[in-house]
Amino acid sequence: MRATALLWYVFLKEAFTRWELLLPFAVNQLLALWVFSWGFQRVAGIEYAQMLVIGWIGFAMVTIGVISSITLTVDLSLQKIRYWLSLPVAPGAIVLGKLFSSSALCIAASLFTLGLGQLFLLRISLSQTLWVLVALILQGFTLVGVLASISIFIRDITKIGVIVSLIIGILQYLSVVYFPMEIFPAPLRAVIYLNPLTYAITFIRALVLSSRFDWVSLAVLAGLSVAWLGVGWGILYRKALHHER
Amino acid sequence: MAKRAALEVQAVSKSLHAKTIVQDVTLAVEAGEVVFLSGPNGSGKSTLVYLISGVYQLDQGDVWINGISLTREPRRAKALVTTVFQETLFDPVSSPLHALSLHARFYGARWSHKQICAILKEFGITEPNRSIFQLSGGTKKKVELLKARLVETPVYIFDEPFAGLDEQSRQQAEELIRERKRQGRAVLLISHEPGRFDWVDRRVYMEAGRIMPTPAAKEASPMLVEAVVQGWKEELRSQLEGQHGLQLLEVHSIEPSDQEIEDILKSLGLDKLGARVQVLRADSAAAQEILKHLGGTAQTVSVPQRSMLRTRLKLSAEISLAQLTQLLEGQGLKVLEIRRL
Repeated sequence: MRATALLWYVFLKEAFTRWELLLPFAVNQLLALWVFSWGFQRVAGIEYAQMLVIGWIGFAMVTIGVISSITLTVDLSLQKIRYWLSLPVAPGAIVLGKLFSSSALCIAASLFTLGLGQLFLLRISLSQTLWVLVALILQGFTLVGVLASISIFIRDITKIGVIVSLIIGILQYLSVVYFPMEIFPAPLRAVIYLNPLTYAITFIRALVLSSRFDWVSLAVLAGLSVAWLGVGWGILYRKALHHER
Repeated sequence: MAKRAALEVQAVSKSLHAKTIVQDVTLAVEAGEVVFLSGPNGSGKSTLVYLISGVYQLDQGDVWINGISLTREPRRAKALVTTVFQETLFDPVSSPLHALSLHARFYGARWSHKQICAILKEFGITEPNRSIFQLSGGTKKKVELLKARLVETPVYIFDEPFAGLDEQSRQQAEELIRERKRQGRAVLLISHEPGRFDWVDRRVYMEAGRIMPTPAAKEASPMLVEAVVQGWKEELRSQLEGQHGLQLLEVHSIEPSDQEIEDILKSLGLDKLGARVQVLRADSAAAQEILKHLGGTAQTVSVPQRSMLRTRLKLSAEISLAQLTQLLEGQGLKVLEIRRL
Protein backbone atom coordinates (compact mmCIF):
# COMPACT_ATOMS: atom_id res chain seq x y z
CA MET A 1 0.00 0.00 0.00
CA ARG A 2 2.93 2.28 0.69
CA ALA A 3 3.97 2.18 -2.95
CA THR A 4 0.40 2.89 -4.07
CA ALA A 5 0.13 5.87 -1.72
CA LEU A 6 3.48 7.16 -2.94
CA LEU A 7 2.46 6.84 -6.58
CA TRP A 8 -0.78 8.69 -5.90
CA TYR A 9 1.19 11.42 -4.19
CA VAL A 10 3.43 11.63 -7.26
CA PHE A 11 0.37 11.92 -9.51
CA LEU A 12 -1.08 14.67 -7.34
CA LYS A 13 2.20 16.54 -7.24
CA GLU A 14 2.54 16.28 -11.00
CA ALA A 15 -1.02 17.54 -11.47
CA PHE A 16 -0.61 20.51 -9.15
CA THR A 17 2.73 21.65 -10.56
CA ARG A 18 1.45 22.12 -14.08
CA TRP A 19 2.03 25.85 -13.98
CA GLU A 20 1.56 26.24 -17.73
CA LEU A 21 -2.03 25.23 -17.10
CA LEU A 22 -2.66 26.71 -13.68
CA LEU A 23 -1.19 30.16 -14.07
CA PRO A 24 -3.25 31.31 -17.10
CA PHE A 25 -6.28 29.70 -15.48
CA ALA A 26 -5.81 31.73 -12.29
CA VAL A 27 -5.39 34.99 -14.19
CA ASN A 28 -8.42 34.17 -16.34
CA GLN A 29 -10.61 33.45 -13.35
CA LEU A 30 -9.48 36.56 -11.54
CA LEU A 31 -10.40 38.73 -14.52
CA ALA A 32 -13.69 36.93 -15.11
CA LEU A 33 -14.88 37.22 -11.52
CA TRP A 34 -13.84 40.85 -11.35
CA VAL A 35 -15.75 41.67 -14.53
CA PHE A 36 -18.80 39.72 -13.34
CA SER A 37 -18.79 41.42 -9.99
CA TRP A 38 -19.09 44.96 -11.26
CA GLY A 39 -20.08 44.70 -14.93
CA PHE A 40 -22.92 42.20 -14.76
CA GLN A 41 -24.03 43.59 -11.44
CA ARG A 42 -24.53 46.99 -13.04
CA VAL A 43 -26.12 45.77 -16.26
CA ALA A 44 -28.31 42.94 -14.93
CA GLY A 45 -28.37 43.39 -11.18
CA ILE A 46 -26.74 41.54 -8.28
CA GLU A 47 -29.00 38.50 -8.50
CA TYR A 48 -28.00 37.73 -12.05
CA ALA A 49 -24.34 38.46 -11.28
CA GLN A 50 -24.44 36.03 -8.34
CA MET A 51 -26.19 33.40 -10.41
CA LEU A 52 -23.60 33.81 -13.13
CA VAL A 53 -20.71 33.55 -10.66
CA ILE A 54 -22.10 30.25 -9.33
CA GLY A 55 -22.42 28.99 -12.90
CA TRP A 56 -18.86 30.04 -13.46
CA ILE A 57 -17.67 28.20 -10.33
CA GLY A 58 -19.11 24.98 -11.75
CA PHE A 59 -17.74 25.66 -15.19
CA ALA A 60 -14.29 26.65 -13.90
CA MET A 61 -13.17 23.03 -13.72
CA VAL A 62 -14.03 22.27 -17.34
CA THR A 63 -10.98 23.66 -19.15
CA ILE A 64 -8.56 22.11 -16.67
CA GLY A 65 -10.63 18.94 -16.58
CA VAL A 66 -10.57 18.52 -20.36
CA ILE A 67 -6.82 19.06 -20.63
CA SER A 68 -5.90 16.94 -17.63
CA SER A 69 -8.20 14.11 -18.75
CA ILE A 70 -6.61 14.05 -22.17
CA THR A 71 -3.16 14.20 -20.58
CA LEU A 72 -3.96 11.29 -18.30
CA THR A 73 -5.22 9.24 -21.23
CA VAL A 74 -2.06 10.04 -23.17
CA ASP A 75 0.06 9.13 -20.12
CA LEU A 76 -1.56 5.73 -20.09
CA SER A 77 -0.36 5.01 -23.58
CA LEU A 78 3.22 6.22 -23.31
CA GLN A 79 6.45 5.03 -21.72
CA LYS A 80 5.24 6.27 -18.32
CA ILE A 81 2.62 3.55 -18.01
CA ARG A 82 5.27 0.88 -18.54
CA TYR A 83 7.24 2.26 -15.63
CA TRP A 84 4.20 2.52 -13.38
CA LEU A 85 3.12 -1.02 -14.25
CA SER A 86 6.55 -2.32 -13.32
CA LEU A 87 6.18 -0.85 -9.81
CA PRO A 88 4.65 -2.79 -6.91
CA VAL A 89 1.27 -1.18 -7.48
CA ALA A 90 -1.89 -2.88 -8.77
CA PRO A 91 -2.78 -1.72 -12.32
CA GLY A 92 -6.28 -0.70 -11.20
CA ALA A 93 -4.80 1.53 -8.50
CA ILE A 94 -2.63 3.30 -11.08
CA VAL A 95 -5.71 4.22 -13.12
CA LEU A 96 -7.68 5.22 -10.03
CA GLY A 97 -4.78 7.39 -8.86
CA LYS A 98 -4.70 9.18 -12.20
CA LEU A 99 -8.46 9.74 -12.13
CA PHE A 100 -8.34 11.04 -8.56
CA SER A 101 -5.46 13.40 -9.26
CA SER A 102 -7.26 14.85 -12.28
CA SER A 103 -10.46 15.18 -10.26
CA ALA A 104 -8.55 16.86 -7.44
CA LEU A 105 -7.13 19.39 -9.87
CA CYS A 106 -10.62 20.08 -11.24
CA ILE A 107 -12.06 20.52 -7.75
CA ALA A 108 -9.19 22.83 -6.78
CA ALA A 109 -9.89 24.93 -9.88
CA SER A 110 -13.52 25.36 -8.89
CA LEU A 111 -12.61 26.06 -5.26
CA PHE A 112 -10.22 28.78 -6.38
CA THR A 113 -13.06 30.35 -8.36
CA LEU A 114 -15.38 29.90 -5.40
CA GLY A 115 -12.85 31.80 -3.27
CA LEU A 116 -12.79 34.65 -5.75
CA GLY A 117 -16.59 34.64 -5.96
CA GLN A 118 -16.81 34.86 -2.20
CA LEU A 119 -14.32 37.70 -2.23
CA PHE A 120 -16.13 39.74 -4.89
CA LEU A 121 -19.81 38.90 -4.78
CA LEU A 122 -21.09 35.93 -2.80
CA ARG A 123 -21.82 35.55 0.89
CA ILE A 124 -21.71 31.82 1.53
CA SER A 125 -21.88 30.53 5.10
CA LEU A 126 -19.53 27.85 6.40
CA SER A 127 -22.17 25.10 6.42
CA GLN A 128 -23.18 26.04 2.88
CA THR A 129 -19.52 25.96 1.85
CA LEU A 130 -19.23 22.35 2.99
CA TRP A 131 -22.18 21.29 0.83
CA VAL A 132 -20.84 23.32 -2.07
CA LEU A 133 -17.58 21.44 -1.63
CA VAL A 134 -19.42 18.11 -1.72
CA ALA A 135 -21.22 19.13 -4.90
CA LEU A 136 -17.98 20.24 -6.54
CA ILE A 137 -16.21 17.01 -5.56
CA LEU A 138 -19.01 14.96 -7.08
CA GLN A 139 -19.00 17.10 -10.20
CA GLY A 140 -15.21 16.75 -10.43
CA PHE A 141 -15.47 12.95 -10.41
CA THR A 142 -18.32 12.99 -12.90
CA LEU A 143 -16.56 15.35 -15.26
CA VAL A 144 -13.26 13.48 -15.21
CA GLY A 145 -15.08 10.18 -15.69
CA VAL A 146 -16.96 11.54 -18.71
CA LEU A 147 -13.93 13.27 -20.20
CA ALA A 148 -11.58 10.35 -19.67
CA SER A 149 -14.09 8.06 -21.37
CA ILE A 150 -14.32 10.44 -24.32
CA SER A 151 -10.60 11.16 -24.52
CA ILE A 152 -9.62 7.58 -25.23
CA PHE A 153 -11.17 8.05 -28.67
CA ILE A 154 -8.58 10.69 -29.48
CA ARG A 155 -6.35 9.01 -31.98
CA ASP A 156 -4.47 12.05 -33.21
CA ILE A 157 -2.99 14.21 -30.48
CA THR A 158 -2.33 17.04 -32.96
CA LYS A 159 -6.08 17.61 -33.13
CA ILE A 160 -6.26 18.19 -29.39
CA GLY A 161 -6.97 21.94 -29.79
CA VAL A 162 -10.08 21.30 -31.89
CA ILE A 163 -11.33 18.63 -29.50
CA VAL A 164 -10.76 20.76 -26.40
CA SER A 165 -12.60 23.72 -27.97
CA LEU A 166 -15.48 21.51 -29.03
CA ILE A 167 -15.95 19.87 -25.63
CA ILE A 168 -15.61 23.15 -23.75
CA GLY A 169 -18.08 24.84 -26.13
CA ILE A 170 -20.72 22.13 -25.67
CA LEU A 171 -20.33 22.02 -21.88
CA GLN A 172 -20.36 25.80 -21.63
CA TYR A 173 -23.25 26.78 -23.89
CA LEU A 174 -25.55 23.77 -23.65
CA SER A 175 -25.66 24.24 -19.91
CA VAL A 176 -27.04 26.29 -17.04
CA VAL A 177 -23.77 28.21 -16.67
CA TYR A 178 -25.23 31.50 -17.96
CA PHE A 179 -28.96 31.00 -17.43
CA PRO A 180 -31.23 28.99 -15.14
CA MET A 181 -32.90 25.88 -16.50
CA GLU A 182 -36.35 27.49 -16.48
CA ILE A 183 -35.67 29.80 -19.38
CA PHE A 184 -34.73 27.04 -21.82
CA PRO A 185 -37.35 25.52 -24.14
CA ALA A 186 -38.34 21.94 -23.28
CA PRO A 187 -36.42 20.14 -26.09
CA LEU A 188 -33.22 21.92 -25.14
CA ARG A 189 -33.70 21.07 -21.47
CA ALA A 190 -33.40 17.37 -22.29
CA VAL A 191 -29.97 18.05 -23.77
CA ILE A 192 -28.93 20.24 -20.86
CA TYR A 193 -29.84 17.49 -18.40
CA LEU A 194 -27.16 15.38 -20.07
CA ASN A 195 -24.53 17.98 -19.21
CA PRO A 196 -22.71 16.90 -16.04
CA LEU A 197 -22.40 20.54 -14.93
CA THR A 198 -26.14 21.00 -14.67
CA TYR A 199 -26.69 19.31 -11.32
CA ALA A 200 -23.94 20.89 -9.24
CA ILE A 201 -24.71 24.37 -10.53
CA THR A 202 -28.45 23.92 -9.91
CA PHE A 203 -27.75 22.55 -6.43
CA ILE A 204 -25.36 25.36 -5.45
CA ARG A 205 -27.66 28.07 -6.81
CA ALA A 206 -30.60 26.71 -4.85
CA LEU A 207 -28.48 26.43 -1.71
CA VAL A 208 -26.72 29.80 -1.88
CA LEU A 209 -29.31 32.00 -3.53
CA SER A 210 -32.56 30.50 -2.19
CA SER A 211 -31.32 28.65 0.94
CA ARG A 212 -33.04 25.56 -0.48
CA PHE A 213 -31.47 22.14 -0.28
CA ASP A 214 -31.98 20.47 -3.66
CA TRP A 215 -31.67 16.80 -2.68
CA VAL A 216 -32.69 15.61 -6.11
CA SER A 217 -29.85 17.38 -7.91
CA LEU A 218 -27.35 16.21 -5.34
CA ALA A 219 -28.59 12.61 -5.48
CA VAL A 220 -28.48 12.60 -9.30
CA LEU A 221 -25.00 14.08 -9.15
CA ALA A 222 -23.85 11.43 -6.65
CA GLY A 223 -25.22 8.69 -8.89
CA LEU A 224 -23.61 10.20 -11.96
CA SER A 225 -20.26 10.57 -10.24
CA VAL A 226 -20.16 6.92 -9.18
CA ALA A 227 -21.36 5.74 -12.58
CA TRP A 228 -19.02 7.89 -14.67
CA LEU A 229 -16.03 7.31 -12.45
CA GLY A 230 -16.71 3.58 -12.81
CA VAL A 231 -17.06 3.82 -16.57
CA GLY A 232 -13.95 6.00 -16.89
CA TRP A 233 -11.97 3.66 -14.65
CA GLY A 234 -13.11 0.62 -16.61
CA ILE A 235 -12.21 2.13 -19.97
CA LEU A 236 -8.85 3.48 -18.81
CA TYR A 237 -8.00 0.26 -16.97
CA ARG A 238 -8.53 -1.65 -20.18
CA LYS A 239 -6.41 0.86 -22.02
CA ALA A 240 -3.63 0.68 -19.41
CA LEU A 241 -3.57 -3.10 -19.42
CA HIS A 242 -3.53 -3.34 -23.16
CA HIS A 243 -1.20 -0.41 -23.80
CA GLU A 244 1.17 -2.76 -25.60
CA ARG A 245 -1.39 -3.32 -28.32
CA MET B 1 3.69 -28.51 -2.18
CA ALA B 2 7.11 -28.51 -3.85
CA LYS B 3 9.37 -25.61 -3.03
CA ARG B 4 9.32 -23.05 -5.80
CA ALA B 5 12.40 -21.42 -7.33
CA ALA B 6 12.98 -17.73 -6.60
CA LEU B 7 11.79 -16.97 -10.12
CA GLU B 8 9.58 -19.41 -11.90
CA VAL B 9 8.09 -18.73 -15.30
CA GLN B 10 5.43 -21.32 -16.06
CA ALA B 11 4.11 -21.96 -19.58
CA VAL B 12 3.94 -18.25 -20.35
CA SER B 13 2.62 -17.07 -23.72
CA LYS B 14 2.05 -13.64 -25.16
CA SER B 15 0.72 -12.40 -28.49
CA LEU B 16 0.99 -8.85 -29.75
CA HIS B 17 -0.81 -7.61 -32.84
CA ALA B 18 -2.06 -11.14 -33.50
CA LYS B 19 1.50 -12.45 -33.57
CA THR B 20 2.78 -14.87 -30.97
CA ILE B 21 5.89 -13.34 -29.44
CA VAL B 22 6.40 -15.64 -26.46
CA GLN B 23 5.15 -19.19 -26.63
CA ASP B 24 4.85 -21.60 -23.76
CA VAL B 25 8.03 -20.43 -22.04
CA THR B 26 9.00 -22.20 -18.85
CA LEU B 27 12.05 -21.09 -16.95
CA ALA B 28 13.30 -21.20 -13.38
CA VAL B 29 16.04 -19.31 -11.59
CA GLU B 30 17.06 -20.49 -8.15
CA ALA B 31 18.25 -18.22 -5.36
CA GLY B 32 21.97 -17.50 -5.79
CA GLU B 33 21.88 -18.54 -9.43
CA VAL B 34 22.60 -16.48 -12.54
CA VAL B 35 20.82 -17.69 -15.65
CA PHE B 36 22.02 -16.25 -18.92
CA LEU B 37 19.26 -15.92 -21.50
CA SER B 38 20.43 -15.38 -25.04
CA GLY B 39 18.90 -15.51 -28.47
CA PRO B 40 18.72 -13.57 -31.71
CA ASN B 41 16.99 -10.21 -32.07
CA GLY B 42 13.22 -10.56 -32.04
CA SER B 43 13.30 -13.90 -30.27
CA GLY B 44 11.01 -12.57 -27.52
CA LYS B 45 13.56 -12.02 -24.73
CA SER B 46 12.58 -8.44 -23.93
CA THR B 47 8.87 -9.29 -24.15
CA LEU B 48 9.53 -12.02 -21.61
CA VAL B 49 11.20 -9.42 -19.38
CA TYR B 50 8.14 -7.17 -19.70
CA LEU B 51 5.93 -10.11 -18.78
CA ILE B 52 7.93 -11.06 -15.71
CA SER B 53 8.09 -7.47 -14.49
CA GLY B 54 4.33 -6.96 -14.91
CA VAL B 55 4.57 -4.38 -17.68
CA TYR B 56 2.77 -6.69 -20.12
CA GLN B 57 -0.17 -8.85 -19.17
CA LEU B 58 0.20 -12.58 -19.49
CA ASP B 59 -2.03 -14.22 -22.08
CA GLN B 60 -1.34 -17.65 -20.63
CA GLY B 61 0.69 -19.16 -17.84
CA ASP B 62 1.93 -17.52 -14.70
CA VAL B 63 5.08 -16.13 -13.13
CA TRP B 64 5.94 -16.99 -9.53
CA ILE B 65 8.31 -14.73 -7.65
CA ASN B 66 9.38 -16.23 -4.35
CA GLY B 67 6.24 -18.32 -4.47
CA ILE B 68 3.90 -15.40 -5.14
CA SER B 69 1.80 -15.48 -8.28
CA LEU B 70 2.06 -12.45 -10.53
CA THR B 71 -1.46 -12.92 -11.89
CA ARG B 72 -3.09 -13.38 -8.48
CA GLU B 73 -1.08 -10.92 -6.41
CA PRO B 74 0.61 -8.55 -8.83
CA ARG B 75 1.42 -5.92 -6.22
CA ARG B 76 3.18 -8.34 -3.86
CA ALA B 77 4.92 -10.22 -6.63
CA LYS B 78 6.27 -7.05 -8.29
CA ALA B 79 7.66 -5.84 -4.97
CA LEU B 80 10.04 -8.82 -5.06
CA VAL B 81 11.65 -8.19 -8.42
CA THR B 82 13.96 -5.46 -9.70
CA THR B 83 14.13 -5.12 -13.44
CA VAL B 84 16.85 -3.26 -15.27
CA PHE B 85 15.19 -2.64 -18.61
CA GLN B 86 16.98 -2.50 -21.92
CA GLU B 87 15.97 1.14 -22.21
CA THR B 88 15.16 3.16 -19.14
CA LEU B 89 11.47 3.72 -18.46
CA PHE B 90 12.11 6.65 -16.14
CA ASP B 91 10.35 9.89 -16.97
CA PRO B 92 12.75 11.57 -19.42
CA VAL B 93 12.27 15.00 -17.85
CA SER B 94 13.15 13.67 -14.43
CA SER B 95 16.74 13.74 -13.18
CA PRO B 96 18.78 10.64 -12.24
CA LEU B 97 18.81 11.76 -8.61
CA HIS B 98 15.08 12.34 -8.38
CA ALA B 99 14.11 9.26 -10.42
CA LEU B 100 16.34 6.88 -8.46
CA SER B 101 15.46 8.36 -5.10
CA LEU B 102 11.76 7.95 -5.82
CA HIS B 103 12.24 4.51 -7.33
CA ALA B 104 14.01 3.27 -4.21
CA ARG B 105 11.15 4.55 -2.05
CA PHE B 106 8.64 2.52 -4.07
CA TYR B 107 10.47 -0.57 -2.79
CA GLY B 108 10.79 0.69 0.74
CA ALA B 109 14.49 1.59 0.44
CA ARG B 110 15.57 4.85 2.00
CA TRP B 111 18.58 6.59 0.53
CA SER B 112 19.52 10.17 1.22
CA HIS B 113 20.22 12.41 -1.77
CA LYS B 114 23.80 12.60 -0.60
CA GLN B 115 24.16 8.83 -0.67
CA ILE B 116 22.57 8.56 -4.11
CA CYS B 117 24.81 11.33 -5.43
CA ALA B 118 27.84 9.41 -4.14
CA ILE B 119 26.68 6.22 -5.87
CA LEU B 120 25.98 8.11 -9.08
CA LYS B 121 29.46 9.58 -8.92
CA GLU B 122 30.92 6.13 -8.31
CA PHE B 123 29.32 5.09 -11.61
CA GLY B 124 30.65 8.17 -13.38
CA ILE B 125 27.42 10.20 -13.37
CA THR B 126 28.56 13.63 -12.37
CA GLU B 127 25.42 15.61 -13.19
CA PRO B 128 22.74 14.07 -10.96
CA ASN B 129 20.26 16.88 -11.54
CA ARG B 130 20.37 16.95 -15.32
CA SER B 131 17.25 15.71 -17.13
CA ILE B 132 17.51 12.08 -18.19
CA PHE B 133 16.64 12.91 -21.79
CA GLN B 134 19.76 15.10 -21.96
CA LEU B 135 22.08 12.25 -20.96
CA SER B 136 24.07 10.05 -23.32
CA GLY B 137 22.88 6.53 -24.07
CA GLY B 138 25.55 4.98 -21.83
CA THR B 139 24.73 7.27 -18.92
CA LYS B 140 21.02 6.50 -19.25
CA LYS B 141 21.92 2.83 -19.11
CA LYS B 142 23.93 3.41 -15.93
CA VAL B 143 21.00 5.24 -14.33
CA GLU B 144 18.76 2.28 -15.15
CA LEU B 145 21.37 -0.13 -13.86
CA LEU B 146 21.57 1.66 -10.53
CA LYS B 147 18.04 0.53 -9.72
CA ALA B 148 19.64 -2.84 -9.00
CA ARG B 149 22.17 -1.15 -6.72
CA LEU B 150 19.63 0.79 -4.67
CA VAL B 151 16.82 -1.70 -4.34
CA GLU B 152 17.03 -5.00 -2.45
CA THR B 153 14.80 -7.72 -3.85
CA PRO B 154 15.14 -11.52 -4.04
CA VAL B 155 15.01 -11.48 -7.86
CA TYR B 156 16.86 -9.31 -10.36
CA ILE B 157 16.40 -9.14 -14.10
CA PHE B 158 19.02 -7.47 -16.25
CA ASP B 159 18.02 -6.89 -19.85
CA GLU B 160 21.10 -5.97 -21.90
CA PRO B 161 22.86 -4.35 -18.93
CA PHE B 162 26.16 -3.86 -20.75
CA ALA B 163 24.87 -2.30 -23.97
CA GLY B 164 26.49 1.06 -24.59
CA LEU B 165 28.76 0.93 -21.52
CA ASP B 166 32.46 1.66 -21.56
CA GLU B 167 34.88 -0.94 -20.21
CA GLN B 168 35.02 0.45 -16.69
CA SER B 169 31.27 0.77 -16.37
CA ARG B 170 30.86 -2.69 -17.83
CA GLN B 171 33.10 -4.07 -15.12
CA GLN B 172 31.09 -2.21 -12.49
CA ALA B 173 27.89 -3.66 -13.93
CA GLU B 174 29.34 -7.16 -13.93
CA GLU B 175 30.49 -6.68 -10.34
CA LEU B 176 27.01 -5.53 -9.37
CA ILE B 177 25.48 -8.70 -10.85
CA ARG B 178 28.12 -10.90 -9.22
CA GLU B 179 27.48 -9.17 -5.91
CA ARG B 180 23.77 -9.94 -6.14
CA LYS B 181 24.63 -13.57 -6.90
CA ARG B 182 26.95 -13.70 -3.89
CA GLN B 183 24.10 -12.35 -1.76
CA GLY B 184 22.00 -15.33 -2.82
CA ARG B 185 19.68 -13.44 -5.15
CA ALA B 186 18.25 -14.99 -8.29
CA VAL B 187 19.48 -13.23 -11.43
CA LEU B 188 18.15 -13.52 -14.95
CA LEU B 189 20.65 -11.95 -17.33
CA ILE B 190 19.86 -11.17 -20.93
CA SER B 191 22.72 -9.97 -23.07
CA HIS B 192 24.00 -9.80 -26.59
CA GLU B 193 27.34 -8.42 -25.52
CA PRO B 194 30.34 -10.71 -25.91
CA GLY B 195 32.03 -11.91 -22.80
CA ARG B 196 33.09 -14.99 -20.93
CA PHE B 197 30.70 -14.63 -18.01
CA ASP B 198 32.44 -17.33 -15.99
CA TRP B 199 30.11 -16.53 -13.12
CA VAL B 200 27.00 -17.52 -15.06
CA ASP B 201 25.54 -20.76 -13.72
CA ARG B 202 23.33 -21.76 -16.58
CA ARG B 203 22.65 -20.69 -20.13
CA VAL B 204 19.27 -20.73 -21.81
CA TYR B 205 18.65 -20.06 -25.45
CA MET B 206 15.50 -18.51 -26.83
CA GLU B 207 14.44 -18.46 -30.44
CA ALA B 208 11.14 -17.55 -32.10
CA GLY B 209 9.49 -17.02 -28.73
CA ARG B 210 10.42 -20.45 -27.34
CA ILE B 211 13.11 -21.80 -25.08
CA MET B 212 15.30 -24.01 -27.26
CA PRO B 213 17.25 -26.50 -25.18
CA THR B 214 19.59 -27.83 -27.90
CA PRO B 215 21.29 -24.73 -29.29
CA ALA B 216 22.08 -23.53 -25.79
CA ALA B 217 25.15 -25.67 -25.58
CA LYS B 218 26.19 -24.54 -29.02
CA GLU B 219 25.79 -20.93 -28.01
CA ALA B 220 27.72 -21.40 -24.81
CA SER B 221 30.77 -23.05 -26.28
CA PRO B 222 33.28 -20.91 -28.15
CA MET B 223 33.12 -21.19 -31.92
CA LEU B 224 36.04 -21.56 -34.32
CA VAL B 225 36.32 -18.89 -36.94
CA GLU B 226 38.55 -18.40 -39.94
CA ALA B 227 39.04 -14.86 -41.12
CA VAL B 228 41.08 -13.52 -44.03
CA VAL B 229 42.20 -9.99 -43.36
CA GLN B 230 44.39 -7.30 -44.82
CA GLY B 231 46.62 -5.04 -42.78
CA TRP B 232 47.66 -7.57 -40.12
CA LYS B 233 50.40 -6.46 -37.77
CA GLU B 234 51.96 -8.70 -35.15
CA GLU B 235 51.33 -6.20 -32.38
CA LEU B 236 47.59 -6.66 -32.90
CA ARG B 237 47.90 -10.17 -31.42
CA SER B 238 48.23 -8.91 -27.87
CA GLN B 239 45.48 -6.35 -28.40
CA LEU B 240 43.00 -8.92 -29.67
CA GLU B 241 43.72 -11.83 -27.39
CA GLY B 242 41.57 -12.09 -24.33
CA GLN B 243 39.19 -9.40 -25.55
CA HIS B 244 35.63 -10.74 -25.29
CA GLY B 245 36.95 -14.25 -24.84
CA LEU B 246 38.91 -14.18 -28.10
CA GLN B 247 41.80 -16.56 -28.68
CA LEU B 248 44.09 -16.41 -31.68
CA LEU B 249 44.91 -19.99 -32.63
CA GLU B 250 46.80 -19.55 -35.91
CA VAL B 251 48.15 -16.69 -37.99
CA HIS B 252 49.26 -17.40 -41.57
CA SER B 253 50.39 -14.94 -44.17
CA ILE B 254 48.98 -15.59 -47.60
CA GLU B 255 51.49 -14.86 -50.35
CA PRO B 256 49.98 -13.35 -53.45
CA SER B 257 49.82 -15.71 -56.41
CA ASP B 258 51.46 -14.81 -59.72
CA GLN B 259 48.02 -14.42 -61.20
CA GLU B 260 47.02 -11.92 -58.54
CA ILE B 261 50.23 -9.95 -59.09
CA GLU B 262 49.67 -9.96 -62.79
CA ASP B 263 46.13 -8.76 -62.32
CA ILE B 264 47.37 -5.87 -60.25
CA LEU B 265 50.00 -4.97 -62.80
CA LYS B 266 47.46 -5.15 -65.56
CA SER B 267 45.26 -2.80 -63.60
CA LEU B 268 48.21 -0.42 -63.58
CA GLY B 269 48.46 -0.58 -67.38
CA LEU B 270 51.44 -3.00 -67.56
CA ASP B 271 49.89 -5.82 -69.49
CA LYS B 272 53.00 -7.20 -71.33
CA LEU B 273 55.31 -8.46 -68.63
CA GLY B 274 58.08 -10.93 -68.63
CA ALA B 275 57.74 -14.22 -66.79
CA ARG B 276 59.75 -13.09 -63.84
CA VAL B 277 57.98 -10.74 -61.52
CA GLN B 278 59.58 -9.67 -58.29
CA VAL B 279 57.63 -8.10 -55.49
CA LEU B 280 59.54 -5.32 -53.80
CA ARG B 281 58.87 -4.22 -50.28
CA ALA B 282 57.84 -0.71 -50.94
CA ASP B 283 54.73 1.19 -50.12
CA SER B 284 52.11 2.06 -52.59
CA ALA B 285 53.23 5.64 -53.29
CA ALA B 286 56.81 4.55 -53.93
CA ALA B 287 55.63 1.83 -56.26
CA GLN B 288 53.66 4.32 -58.26
CA GLU B 289 56.74 6.52 -58.49
CA ILE B 290 58.90 3.63 -59.74
CA LEU B 291 56.30 2.66 -62.31
CA LYS B 292 56.17 6.22 -63.52
CA HIS B 293 59.92 6.30 -64.11
CA LEU B 294 60.32 2.82 -65.58
CA GLY B 295 57.31 2.78 -67.80
CA GLY B 296 55.79 -0.34 -69.38
CA THR B 297 59.10 -2.04 -70.35
CA ALA B 298 60.27 -2.79 -66.83
CA GLN B 299 60.47 -6.38 -65.70
CA THR B 300 61.01 -5.56 -62.05
CA VAL B 301 58.26 -3.50 -60.57
CA SER B 302 56.89 -2.73 -57.21
CA VAL B 303 53.28 -3.38 -56.32
CA PRO B 304 51.42 -1.80 -53.41
CA GLN B 305 52.35 -4.06 -50.56
CA ARG B 306 49.35 -3.59 -48.29
CA SER B 307 46.89 -4.29 -51.05
CA MET B 308 48.53 -7.64 -51.78
CA LEU B 309 49.42 -9.14 -48.42
CA ARG B 310 46.66 -10.98 -46.66
CA THR B 311 46.59 -12.93 -43.44
CA ARG B 312 44.53 -15.95 -42.52
CA LEU B 313 43.53 -15.95 -38.85
CA LYS B 314 42.10 -18.88 -37.02
CA LEU B 315 40.29 -17.78 -33.89
CA SER B 316 38.21 -19.07 -31.08
CA ALA B 317 35.42 -16.67 -30.17
CA GLU B 318 32.31 -16.46 -28.02
CA ILE B 319 30.77 -13.73 -30.08
CA SER B 320 28.80 -13.62 -33.31
CA LEU B 321 30.50 -13.30 -36.70
CA ALA B 322 29.10 -9.81 -37.09
CA GLN B 323 30.52 -8.75 -33.73
CA LEU B 324 33.87 -10.35 -34.53
CA THR B 325 34.02 -8.57 -37.88
CA GLN B 326 33.29 -5.31 -36.12
CA LEU B 327 36.00 -6.02 -33.59
CA LEU B 328 38.62 -6.79 -36.25
CA GLU B 329 37.67 -3.75 -38.28
CA GLY B 330 37.92 -1.69 -35.14
CA GLN B 331 41.61 -2.66 -35.04
CA GLY B 332 42.14 -1.26 -38.55
CA LEU B 333 41.95 -4.59 -40.35
CA LYS B 334 40.07 -5.10 -43.59
CA VAL B 335 38.04 -8.30 -43.32
CA LEU B 336 37.93 -10.01 -46.71
CA GLU B 337 36.38 -13.28 -45.66
CA ILE B 338 35.01 -14.62 -42.41
CA ARG B 339 33.40 -17.96 -41.73
CA ARG B 340 32.63 -20.35 -38.95
CA LEU B 341 34.61 -23.59 -39.03
